[in-house]
Amino acid sequence: MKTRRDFIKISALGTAGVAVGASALSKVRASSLFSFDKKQPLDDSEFERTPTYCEVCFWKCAGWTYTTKEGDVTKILGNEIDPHCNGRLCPRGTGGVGMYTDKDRLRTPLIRVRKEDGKSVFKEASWDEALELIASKMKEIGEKHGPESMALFNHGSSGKHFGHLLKAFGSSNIVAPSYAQCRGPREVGFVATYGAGVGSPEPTDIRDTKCMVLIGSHLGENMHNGQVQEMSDAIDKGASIITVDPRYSTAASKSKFWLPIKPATDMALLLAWIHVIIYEELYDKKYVEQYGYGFEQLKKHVKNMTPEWAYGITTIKPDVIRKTAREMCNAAPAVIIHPGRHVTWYGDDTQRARAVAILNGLLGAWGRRGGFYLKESLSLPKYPTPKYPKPKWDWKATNNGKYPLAGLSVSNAFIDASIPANGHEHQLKGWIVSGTNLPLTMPNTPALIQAIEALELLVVVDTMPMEITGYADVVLPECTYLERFDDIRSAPHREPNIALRAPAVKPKYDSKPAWWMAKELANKLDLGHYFPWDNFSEVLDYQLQEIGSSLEEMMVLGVKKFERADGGLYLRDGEEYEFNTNTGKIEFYSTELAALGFDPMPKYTEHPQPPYGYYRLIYGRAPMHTFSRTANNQNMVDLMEENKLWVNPKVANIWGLENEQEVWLENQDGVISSFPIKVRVTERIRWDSIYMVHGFGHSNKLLKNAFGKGASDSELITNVMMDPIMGGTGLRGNFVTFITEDPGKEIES
Amino acid sequence: MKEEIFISGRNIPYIDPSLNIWHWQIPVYLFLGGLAAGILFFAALYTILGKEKEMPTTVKWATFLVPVALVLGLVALFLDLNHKLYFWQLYTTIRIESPMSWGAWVLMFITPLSMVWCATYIKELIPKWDWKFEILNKFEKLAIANRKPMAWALLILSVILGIYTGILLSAFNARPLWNTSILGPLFLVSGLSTGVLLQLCGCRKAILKEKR
Amino acid sequence: MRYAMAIDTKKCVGCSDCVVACQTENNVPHGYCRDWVVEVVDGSYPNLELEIRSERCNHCENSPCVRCCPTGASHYVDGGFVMVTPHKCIGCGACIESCPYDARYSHPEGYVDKCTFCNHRVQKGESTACVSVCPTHCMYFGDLDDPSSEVSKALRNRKYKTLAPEAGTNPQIFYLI
Repeated sequence: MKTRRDFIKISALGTAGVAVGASALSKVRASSLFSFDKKQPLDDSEFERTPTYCEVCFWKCAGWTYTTKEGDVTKILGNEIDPHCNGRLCPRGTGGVGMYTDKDRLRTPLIRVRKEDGKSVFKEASWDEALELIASKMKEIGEKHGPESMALFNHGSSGKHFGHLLKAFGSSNIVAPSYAQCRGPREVGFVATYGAGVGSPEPTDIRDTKCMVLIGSHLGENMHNGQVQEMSDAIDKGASIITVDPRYSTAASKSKFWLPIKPATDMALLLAWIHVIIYEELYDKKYVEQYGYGFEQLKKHVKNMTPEWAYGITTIKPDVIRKTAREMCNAAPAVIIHPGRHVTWYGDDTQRARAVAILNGLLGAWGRRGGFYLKESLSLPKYPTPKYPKPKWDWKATNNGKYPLAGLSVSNAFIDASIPANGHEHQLKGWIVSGTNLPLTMPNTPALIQAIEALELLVVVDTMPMEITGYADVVLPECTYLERFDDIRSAPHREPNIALRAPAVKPKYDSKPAWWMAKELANKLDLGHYFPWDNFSEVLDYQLQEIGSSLEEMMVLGVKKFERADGGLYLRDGEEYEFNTNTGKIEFYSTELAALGFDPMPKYTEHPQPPYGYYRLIYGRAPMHTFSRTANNQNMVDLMEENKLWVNPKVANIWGLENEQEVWLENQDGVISSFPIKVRVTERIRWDSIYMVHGFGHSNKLLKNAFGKGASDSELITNVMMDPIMGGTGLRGNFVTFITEDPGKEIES
Repeated sequence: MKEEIFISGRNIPYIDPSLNIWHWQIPVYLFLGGLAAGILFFAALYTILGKEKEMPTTVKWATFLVPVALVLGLVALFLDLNHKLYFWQLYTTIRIESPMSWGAWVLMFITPLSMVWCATYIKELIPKWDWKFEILNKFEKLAIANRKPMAWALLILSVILGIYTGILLSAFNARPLWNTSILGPLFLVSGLSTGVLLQLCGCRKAILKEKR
Repeated sequence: MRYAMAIDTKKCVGCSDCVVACQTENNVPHGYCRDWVVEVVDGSYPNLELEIRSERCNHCENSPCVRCCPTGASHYVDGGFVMVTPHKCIGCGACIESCPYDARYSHPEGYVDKCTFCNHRVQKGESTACVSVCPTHCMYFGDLDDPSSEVSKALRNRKYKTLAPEAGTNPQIFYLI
C-alpha cells in the first residue's frame, strides 16, 4: 500500500500568468478617440457565433457563443429553437463566459512528485509525460488486479470520452454521483411504479398544468431552465402551486398553498393525501381501473392514514391536507406531483418516490396533458469501433450484494469498494475523476479520504483546481466547453432533438479537450484502434450524416428537432398501453419490491429529530450557482460570492446571533466547519432547521475567488441514511449547532 | 419581521452599503467657498455704502484671504472629480437647471475678480509694491477707478456663490434632510456669518479700543 | 415614444440572469452592476410574503440626475432614455448623489455609468439584454405610447407600483404586483 496521499498545494508551481493581459485588451477598438468609447457594447454584426450547449449544469441548454474577430468570448445567448431553454439561458449559462476567462484555471498537466522530506509537490509536465505515466500505471493495475479495478467518476460531457476509453480497457466501472447522491431514488421509485424512470429533463408538462405540487423541490432556486420557464407560464395561466417545504422557498412564495411541514415527515403527508383521494373517491376511476394494479391493496393499506393521523406527525392541519388534496383532484389529470430531483434525504427515499408516483397514478397524471408527457429522444448511431472486451465483473459487484434495485452504479459503493479494509471481493485500485469535485460532493468525507489514500492511481481531469485535484497523482487540465467538441446532446423531450457543441475559441493555456486526452491515452495503452479518427468532429459528422444531418448543417443550426416516431405525446382516451412492469400496469402494489422482501407499498417511518440545541441542516441551490463548480466564476461571484446561514429570528434571539455575524457549525458527530459562515436572520426558515446553499466553503487557495467563502454543507454531512433498495445516501439527517468563537480549526490547503 | 436585502449584483465601491461618493474635499470646499462668499459680500456691501475708510478690515484686509480660500477650495473640488481631465467640459455649456453649473461659472468670474479687488489694495498693504510692468500699473488705475461697479458685481456673485451649494444639495430629492428649500438660504447665511466672524476677528483691536 | 419596463414580481424568481446578461452585453466591469435584484420578506413564519424585484435606472421622466449634471453629460434622448456621455462627464458625482435609486456608479475609468435601457439594441428594434434573456419572461419592455406594446398591455391588465414615488421623479419602471 502507498504512503499517505497528502493534499498538495498546486500553488508551488504557477509559472504561467502571462496570457491574461492580452485578452483584456482584445475587446478594444483601436480607431476610437476616447478610451471609454471602446468599452461601449459591440454590434452583433461584429461577432461570430458558434453553437454550443451549456456545461455549467446538467440541463445542457443549447446556445450560441459570441466571439469577437480577435477571438475572445464575449457573451453566450440561448438558441431560440432549443426546447431546453427556448432561447433563454439561465444566469449560469449567460455567465458561462466566466468559466473560460477564469484566471485560476488549470493550465498545464501536473504530476505528483515526492520530495526528500517526504512531502509531495506537483511538477508541471508535458502531456506526453503525464499520459505516459497514467498509461503505465493503468497497465500495472490491469496486470496486478485486472482492468476492472480501474473506475471512472464523472459528471458532465467529458466523462463520455473517458468512459469509452475505460470500456475499451476492460472496465465498465463508471459512476456519477448524480445517481446515488441525487436523483437515483426517484428513478427507482418510478420504475417500480410505471416501468419507466423520470430521466432528465423531467417529462413534466408544467406548461399546461393546472396544479403542481412541489415537495422539497425549490424550482426557481434550482434553475432547471425549461421547468422554471414553464412554471412561469403556468403562473401566468393561473395554475395553482402547492409547495411542501419547511423553508419559505421562492416557489412557496408563488404558491396558492404553502405547507410548512415538519422536516422528515413528508411520507405521512403523501400517505394522507392518498387516503383522502381514495376514500373521498376523488381518484381517476377509469384510469386506475384500466392501467392500475393493486388498488384494493393500496386502499386497505392507507385506511388508517387519515389527515388527522398525519397532522400529529407533519403539523399540517387536517383541513389543509384535505383542501390541497381536493385542489389536485380538481385539476386532474392536468396535475403534477413533481418527482423532485435531489431526493436522497432520509434513506426511505425510493419509497417516498413511490408514494409520489402512486399519487400521480391515482390522479391519472402519467401520460396526460398537464401531467407527465410521454417523452421521446433520438438514438444516435455509434461510430464503428471494435467491440469492448467483456469485463469479468462490473459495477454491480461493487454493491457487494446490497442495493438490488440500483439501476445505475452507486458512487458510495465505489468508495466502499476502494477501501481495502472493507475486504470486498472486487476492489477498485485506480480512479479517473472527471468533472466532479468529490470532496464537496460526497457525504462522509473521512471514508472518501480513506479510499483515496489507498488508491494506486488517481487521475483528475478538470478545468479548475478543485479540491479533488489536490489528492491526484496526475492532474489533466481540460479546456472549457466553449473550447471543445463533445458528444451530440440527444435528450428526451416532447420532440426528439439534438444539439451540437463546437469550439468557439482555441483552448487557453495548455488545456485540452477530453476526447483528445482519451484518444492519446488510448494510443499509449495500445487501444488506439478504439479511436480510429484524428478529430472528434469526424465522429460527430459520421453520426449526423447517419441521421440525415451533417456537421456543416449543425454548425449553422445548433439545434435540430425531429418528428416523433413513437406515438403521441399523451395517452389517448382509453388507449391500450403496456407499462414496463411485471404486471404491465401501473403498480400501486409493487410486485418487484415484494419479491425482494421490501415493502410493496410505502410506509411512514419516523426519522430522528434534532436534539436540544441542534438544528436540522437543510441545504439547497441558488439560481446563480451549480454546486461547487461555479463558486470561482467571476461572473457568478459578482452575483453571489458566498453562502449564508439562514436562521429563524427566534433561534437567532436564543443564541444572540445577528445578521452578517460569522459563526462556525458543529454537527452531531463533532465535525466543525472549516470556515465560518455569515448569518442571515430570516423568517423564511423554520425554527428547527437552518439552511445554506450547497457548493461553498472551498478550501483550495488556488480558487482565489472561492477560497474560504462561506461554509461547506458536505463536510458536515457525516450521518448518511442509506437507502437499502438502491444505495442512495440520505443526507438530511444531520444536525448542527453554532460556535460563535473561532474554534481554530486547521485548514488543509 | 421585515427584511429587505440585495440578493445579487450590488456591493459597488463607494455606493454600497452606504453612499460615499463625496469625500473630505467637498466639505472643505463648502466651508472655504462659504467663507469667501461671506467676506466678499460685506466688502462689496460696505464699499457700495461708502464706508471703505471706516471699515478697512472688512473692505480691504480680509479680502486678501479670499483668493487663497477660493484657490484652495478649487483644488479640493478638482481632487474630488473622478474624471479630472475632462473638467473643462464644465465651460462648454451653461446649464440653468444645474446648481453646479452655476457654481462653476460663478467661480470662473469671482476668483479673478477677487484677485483684482485685492490688487487694487495691495499698495496700501505693501507700500513698496511694484507692478514691474507699465501695463499693470495702468490696469491698476483703471481698476481703482471702477471699485464701485466691481463691488456691485462681487455683491451679486457672492450671493450666488453662497447660495448655490445649498441649492445643489437640496436638489437631491431622495436624500432626507437635504431635500428642503431652506438649505440654500441656510448655506448663504452660514457663509455670511463665517465671513463676518473672520472680519470681526481682524478688527478685534479696533473694537477693543472703542470699548475702552 | 416613451420607453418603459414592466416587471412582474409574481413571476420573478430572482435568478439574476438580467444582471449577468447586462454585464456581458455592456462590458460592465466586474464588481459593478447596472442592474440588481432585491428581495423583500414580510411577516412572520409561517405567514409570509416575498417580493423579488429586478432593479435598475428608472429612466425617470423628471430625472434629478439630468437636472444636476453641470456639463450635460447626463441627458435625455428620444424615447425617454436617460443617457450619460462618458467624454462629457467630469465625474463630479452630483448625479450619483441625486439618484433616489442608487442606480449610478463611478466607472473605474472615472466617468459615471448606469443602465442605458440598452439603447444600442433598442435602436435596432431589439429589446434590452436583460429582458431578452429573462427565463421567466417576467420583464416587458416597450413603448408606453403604443397601446399594443407588451408594456402597455401589462400595465392595463395588472396592478402596479413604482419605486420611491415620493421623490417625484416619475420613474419609467413599473412593478406588477
